[in-house]
Amino acid sequence: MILYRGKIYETDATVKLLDSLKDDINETIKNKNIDREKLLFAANRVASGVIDGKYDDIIASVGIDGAEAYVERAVRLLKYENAALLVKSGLPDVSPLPETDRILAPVGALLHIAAGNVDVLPAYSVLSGLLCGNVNVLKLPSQDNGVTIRIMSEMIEMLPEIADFIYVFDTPSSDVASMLKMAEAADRIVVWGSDEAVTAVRKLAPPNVGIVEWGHRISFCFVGEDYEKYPEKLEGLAEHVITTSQLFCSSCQRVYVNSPRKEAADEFCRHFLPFLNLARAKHPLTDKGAAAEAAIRKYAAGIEAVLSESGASGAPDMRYYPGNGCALCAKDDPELEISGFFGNLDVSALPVEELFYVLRDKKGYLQTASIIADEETAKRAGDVMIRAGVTRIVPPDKMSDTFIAEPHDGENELARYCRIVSRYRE
Amino acid sequence: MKYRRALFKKRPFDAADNGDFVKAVREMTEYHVKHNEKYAAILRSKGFDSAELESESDLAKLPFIPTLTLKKHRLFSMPEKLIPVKVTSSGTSGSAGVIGFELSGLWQALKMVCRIFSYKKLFSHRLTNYVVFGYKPDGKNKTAVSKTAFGATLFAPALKRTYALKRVDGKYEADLEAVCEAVLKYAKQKHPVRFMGFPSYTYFAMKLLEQKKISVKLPEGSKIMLAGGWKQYYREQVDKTEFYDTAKRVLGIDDKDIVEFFGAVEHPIAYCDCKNHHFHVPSYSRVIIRDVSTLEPAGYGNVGLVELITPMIKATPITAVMTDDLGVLRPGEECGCGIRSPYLEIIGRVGLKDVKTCAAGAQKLLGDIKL
Repeated sequence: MILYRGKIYETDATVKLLDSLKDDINETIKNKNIDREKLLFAANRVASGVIDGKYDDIIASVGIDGAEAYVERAVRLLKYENAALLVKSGLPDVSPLPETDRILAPVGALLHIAAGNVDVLPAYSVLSGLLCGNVNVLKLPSQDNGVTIRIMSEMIEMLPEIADFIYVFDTPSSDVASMLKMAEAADRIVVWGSDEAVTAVRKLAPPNVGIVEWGHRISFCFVGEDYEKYPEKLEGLAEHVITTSQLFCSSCQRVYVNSPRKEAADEFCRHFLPFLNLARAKHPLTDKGAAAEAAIRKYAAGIEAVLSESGASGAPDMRYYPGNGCALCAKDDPELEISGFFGNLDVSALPVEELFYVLRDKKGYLQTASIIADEETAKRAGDVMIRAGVTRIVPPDKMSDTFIAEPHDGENELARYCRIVSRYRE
Repeated sequence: MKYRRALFKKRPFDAADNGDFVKAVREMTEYHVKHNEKYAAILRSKGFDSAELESESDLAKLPFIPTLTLKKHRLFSMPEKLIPVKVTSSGTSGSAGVIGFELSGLWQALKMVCRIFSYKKLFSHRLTNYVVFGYKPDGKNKTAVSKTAFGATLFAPALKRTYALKRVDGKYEADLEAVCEAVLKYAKQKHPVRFMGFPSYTYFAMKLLEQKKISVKLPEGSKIMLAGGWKQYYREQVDKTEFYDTAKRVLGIDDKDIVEFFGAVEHPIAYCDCKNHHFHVPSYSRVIIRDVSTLEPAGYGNVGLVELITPMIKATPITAVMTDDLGVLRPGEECGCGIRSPYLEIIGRVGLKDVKTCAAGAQKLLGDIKL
């Protein structure tokens, strides 16, 4: 399905609509503006609608475990005062300079390519583009379940003047000719996705079209050797691991224990497993497929540990601690990489002195870190993390929370969708 | 391996077992424990002793190997130089596991295939045109699907073979236009046509013919033989009735002439559907459905992880493997086709329906398990 200037079309209209896309976009850029205040009020009305249950059917169709928490966060961000704060803090300062005035202008047209990692992400990306006054072309992810066009249609119904600023296509990425037409009509491509998606867009983009890359990221937790003193924080970390299934950029994939002793990882596993078990008991996996994947990964991790101990994988380098619907694995190799998802978490011993080098190996990928340690260790570890490239340091239970008006992966997202025009005063 | 030999002499759906299957599994397990230290370590870690295998109910005690593990490790039970055939398990996406087959195992496989094809009356002396919805053999593709699709064209003498997937610049591309042309050409001849391979491409080709407003009545004896699943096209998967109706409408092939196979490199037993299109468990295999959380046997009628057991292969310890499939096992009597062994329904794959993640490196990890 296609949404083009407020009208819905079937997919077979793609070629015809793409033929007129460039002209329609240019006509909009030349003649029309978005009233940001009205847009913020429209977003606020969507938030109110969610609270009133107007979109319960859409939310139910998303069908994810713990959807209420995501919805609550989305509502919070869409509220007028919060979205307004995002605009205020995210848009660049354009106060006059000694010789020039500065004018904030939209980039023009943005092509959003969202890889479908979060259900509302494509709509969010378009909304960000609209807030800066841009025309937005959106290539839907193949996994989109119709939610995006529903949300966009609702926004247009509330604020019909934004219709000409929204063009949503369900073109598959394999249709290179159509993708190229969209790219050629845009001033900048906004890509959300894996390394593969980012690489594909770099190849696709014409030289006069810029790219805004929001790639995948990886996150972790650092604990001091005195972690036993902080049961509430350990409980928070366990809740976070279980409730996010470790699927987000901000989800904890590895726990580092501040120690040069390898067995410190095993000691942490033994101490932390009851916390993880408790969190799993509170939040059982309701999706059979997810539960099955968690069970297989847990079982396979056990075999990996056996093969490791038997010398099959070289030196014994991992020990396995199975729980109920979750598991921990003590790994000697501290390389920061994805753990097993769905409550399967890896743990390594790593003294703070060596943390920098392990993190630098993942430069460009680092995102969220949490710290469970005494004040002095926490400060030292935090400094290392900032130097190494981490962009968020938050409490362990809030690793995947979204804070009002916070930057995205260390950058002001809205600033990437704007231009600052300098005009000399004559 | 006398019990294995005895087992693979059986007819495909032999009701009389007399403990032969369990004896063969025990014999094979003992072989792997003796010749494969890694496998022996896995069984030891689970506290399992092959002496525990005395009856069918004991099969659930045999520790299974997940396909995920087979994709990461070469778990061979004999020197690689004695393994003449090594097959990768995935030709479409994700990482590929290597499963080795020794000559004696391949001999059992050949006997099994001959028995099942005879049972399904798939052998023919008539010259036949083939449309293979798979890879054109070129020596570079070592996937099981490419080998089996080609092998299946040997059961009726081939007049001509047309391949839907061709290697272009190192990648495989579907050439459905060529398939449409072949269908039009073959329809004018008197020789039967056999379509072999992936159901996704078969369906896409039929829909392309339909878009071109082409429908033909292929010569009597023509068949569609499906294998390999929908793989990355699972979102476009249609139900069987729609598939059969399209085949009748576009190619003039009745559903009785559509045969579907199910199997995996990790479990090289040819499951072939019955006249009611159910996959009954053949004499050479057993299925255990395991609970998705506890991994305990779930019994009939419950959705769970599909574990497959066969004592066919000595080269790799794939006696009991846990697939990435979710399925249900139903009593044979519920089918009504006359075969008494239980039948397996595959209803999906593990993981969230469409796993959505923005964690860096996740695609590689998910590729390990998603085929």
